[in-house]
Amino acid sequence: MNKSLINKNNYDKFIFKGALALESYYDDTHENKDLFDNFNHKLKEYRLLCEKTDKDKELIVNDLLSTIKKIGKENFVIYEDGDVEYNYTIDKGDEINVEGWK
Amino acid sequence: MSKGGSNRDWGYASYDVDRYDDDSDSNLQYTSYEKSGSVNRYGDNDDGGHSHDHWNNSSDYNNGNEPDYSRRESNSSPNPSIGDVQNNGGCYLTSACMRCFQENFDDNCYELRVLRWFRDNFVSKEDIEHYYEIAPIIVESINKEEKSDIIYDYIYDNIVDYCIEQIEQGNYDAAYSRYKNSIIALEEQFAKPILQRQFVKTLKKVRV
Repeated sequence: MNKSLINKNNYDKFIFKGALALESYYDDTHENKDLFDNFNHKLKEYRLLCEKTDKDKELIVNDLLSTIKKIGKENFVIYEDGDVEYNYTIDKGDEINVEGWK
Repeated sequence: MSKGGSNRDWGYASYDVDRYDDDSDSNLQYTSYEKSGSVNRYGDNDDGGHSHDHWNNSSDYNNGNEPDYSRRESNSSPNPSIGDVQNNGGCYLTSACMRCFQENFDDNCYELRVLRWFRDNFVSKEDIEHYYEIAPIIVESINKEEKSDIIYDYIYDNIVDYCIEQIEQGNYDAAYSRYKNSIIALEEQFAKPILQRQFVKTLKKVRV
């Protein structure tokens, strides 16, 4: 996946929508619970930070990207502005939906 | 928000209207109109987690149809706050309040609670969608202005304060009218130039 789509300008959006997209994925499939719980644990800690530095954001972004990669990037659609959705339309064995991915 | 459009930023946060009268039971909801055309709604369950409803298309949601997927129980994912939703300046009414109150700003302040109540009870879904589609662009544009503080002061005095006063007096038409006219005026002045530049950029790409 091309990380340049996600940059300092859209970290907040990517983190926020990415977390919700993961949730949609888990609600739909009930798969990879360990990955889902592990990321949410880190997200909870991140959200408790009073001040979030660029470094803090970068860390959670990397965690989110890593989680998406392990789950399978075909399950998500990432847009150029950092928005993320769970790809409800994909069936197992369908072509990879890579809109916004380069 | 848009029905699959590309300009929506965050969706919108609101409080569970049924419980609005009792602040202690007001539950945060976040409604996200996705670019694909579906709608996701998340609701605070008061236990640190939230529910999740999903509609495959926004028409079903707007028509009040039952969701295609619904989870009432909380899972392990933490709740986002309204601040998380709007701290990117997606709402110019919130931004105006933030500039006005500064360090005393509370996202659950009286003004925003009243405006959200008004939005949830009186403003049409189409108008809400349009507002959240265009408001982030307006905020982005205002924030680039040297005199953005003056502009937000104006918004606070002439839109936030005025609408609150009308709502308190039960003059809902007047509040709605001022709210709608403000979108038209701010869109014309602040959003249109940005959208025109984006349109030209897109046309150039198409030519190539």
